Amino acid sequence: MRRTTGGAIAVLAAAVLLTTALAERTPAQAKKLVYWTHWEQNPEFNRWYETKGKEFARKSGYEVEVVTIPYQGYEAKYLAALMGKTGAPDFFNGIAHQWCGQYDFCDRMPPDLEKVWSENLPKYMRAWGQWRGVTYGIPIEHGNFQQMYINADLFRKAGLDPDRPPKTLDDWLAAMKKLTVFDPKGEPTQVGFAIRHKGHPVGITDKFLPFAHAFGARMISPAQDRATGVANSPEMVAALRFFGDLVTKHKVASLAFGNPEDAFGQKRAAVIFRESWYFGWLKKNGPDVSFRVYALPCGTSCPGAGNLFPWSNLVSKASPNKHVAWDFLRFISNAKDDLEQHQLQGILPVWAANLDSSYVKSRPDYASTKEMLAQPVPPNYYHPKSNELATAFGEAVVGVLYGKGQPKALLDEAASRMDRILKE
Amino acid sequence: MPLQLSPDRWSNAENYREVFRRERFARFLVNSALLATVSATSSLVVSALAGYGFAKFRFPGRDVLFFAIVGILMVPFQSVVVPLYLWVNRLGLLDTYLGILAPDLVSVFGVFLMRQAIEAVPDDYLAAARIEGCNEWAVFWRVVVPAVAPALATLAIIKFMWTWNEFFWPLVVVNSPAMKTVTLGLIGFTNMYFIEYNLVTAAAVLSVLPILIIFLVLQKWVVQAAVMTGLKG
Repeated sequence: MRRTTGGAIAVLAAAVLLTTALAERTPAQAKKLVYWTHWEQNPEFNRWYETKGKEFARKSGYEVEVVTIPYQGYEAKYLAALMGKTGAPDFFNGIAHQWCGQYDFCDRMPPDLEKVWSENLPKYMRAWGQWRGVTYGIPIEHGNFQQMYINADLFRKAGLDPDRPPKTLDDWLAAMKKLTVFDPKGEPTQVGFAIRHKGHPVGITDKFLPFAHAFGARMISPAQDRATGVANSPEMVAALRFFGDLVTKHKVASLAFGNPEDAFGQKRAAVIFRESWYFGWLKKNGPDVSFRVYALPCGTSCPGAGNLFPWSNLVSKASPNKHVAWDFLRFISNAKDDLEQHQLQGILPVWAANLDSSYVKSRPDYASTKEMLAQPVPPNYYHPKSNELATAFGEAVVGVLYGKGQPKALLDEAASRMDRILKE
Repeated sequence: MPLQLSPDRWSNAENYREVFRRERFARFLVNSALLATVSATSSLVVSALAGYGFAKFRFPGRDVLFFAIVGILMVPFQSVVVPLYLWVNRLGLLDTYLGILAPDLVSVFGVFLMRQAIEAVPDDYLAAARIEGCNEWAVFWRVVVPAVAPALATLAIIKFMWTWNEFFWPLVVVNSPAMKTVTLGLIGFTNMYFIEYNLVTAAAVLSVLPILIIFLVLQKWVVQAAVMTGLKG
């Protein structure tokens, strides 16, 4: 028995010693602005804030510390910290209609900075960082809308010209049929379109919306007060039927193909709709894929540059350093820094003048981005409950893809749930 | 692409190397091992003492208190995260080992398990020890603890594994890379756009190794743990 007790004490003592040894000594600290972000995929972009923070410290005495939080669960951490007020970041990467709308965690942007950004953002991004007409945040990623990536080799193999991409949905569907290859059992071994059918319904909604917008449909009313009659409109039903038919009727997309990005990277799918970051991913994970990027095809309307996730830099209202945080954001609010930071990571800058920089012009998505921006700005769904709404809607999309019901019935059900969410 | 069961090259350890290059995975393993060990040890001590009290002593409100404690099992952890975060922050324990450990130092399940196990120890044994001159500490250490050693082993194994696999609380309370646990390290290979399956699977193999070793070494106790928790709860 004594041996057992002694053993337990030894374990605890060893643990305490190890804890002490592992505790990292922090040097005498400069004052710090703490920035939280969940953009794990952009480490160079994040690190730039720290680099720039050193320069900022020379005039303000404040450096910048970046805390990168795993995307899976970042909302819980943000919520706990921002509700707690202390232990929260001074500024953070988030979505204005959630953190400033659903919750009231954000500080209003100073007028001079608001003027700078309103004059220098592309038109479609001006609603980003805003909630009910008040500006809280600075958008941080341009090109966060889907475009059409095509595999040029597979296009040629199917007798299609990769330099003349389909411009309308009808032409696009015809091309998808030519690009799909079946085995003797009738199962596709190569699909035309890499479809998103797994994962969170919000992501599935996000990938379906360009089709909805191409059919002239929208997810909720412009006043953001109802879904019935909108999310289940005849246009939306037609769009969802078209989307479902890609899998069930035309078989140009397959549920047997897992992750759509992988399928395209492995040359098992000829077309994918994704944002500007995908170009960097492809270069790393599918270096032998010969690809081109084009604007999305149009139906009765063109889908335009829209998204569900307008990421912005927001300042915490409860931060004792909020004025310094705004000073830092003011310090980096210029064309040169914007270009430098985004170029480091290989993503598109947000400052309008930089969209014609040599860096952007050299990218494969330069022309398509211009073309997408020339299309009408699509509906936005920047509502505090956008996640809940997109989840309810996405479940109808999943239902159709997996043959659980007809588009009309599933959309009626989704619209009714969305109305309840909007009324809450 | 044809499926194959065996890899093209058995000697290819590139993904493992990349895991260590990209993240401080060795540190995460040490952190998790340390936290799981302390949490299991602390839970053993507290649960055994509390279980002894609830099983062998009569005092007013004993059953009410016991069921109140057990009732905590039904409260989802997510609902107490914000107040817990506030406490830990006020105590200056954010991003520290103690902060990560705080909710895991005591195990409600452990109290329940130990109370059930100690109840089965005949009162005559305890009475005999007292007649022989043992005080209450001696009765506990010399009679009760040896009699419930299998239950203690069960609790230690279960608690170690639970803490090892804990994700949500470390996510909330940890900020710096040096304090990350294995579960946070694993999720680091997933981001909002894509999952790096090659690295996630390599890291998963590394993270499961300590648990596998425990299983192999303590196989008898692990099986007993499964049986005990299944039968008596």
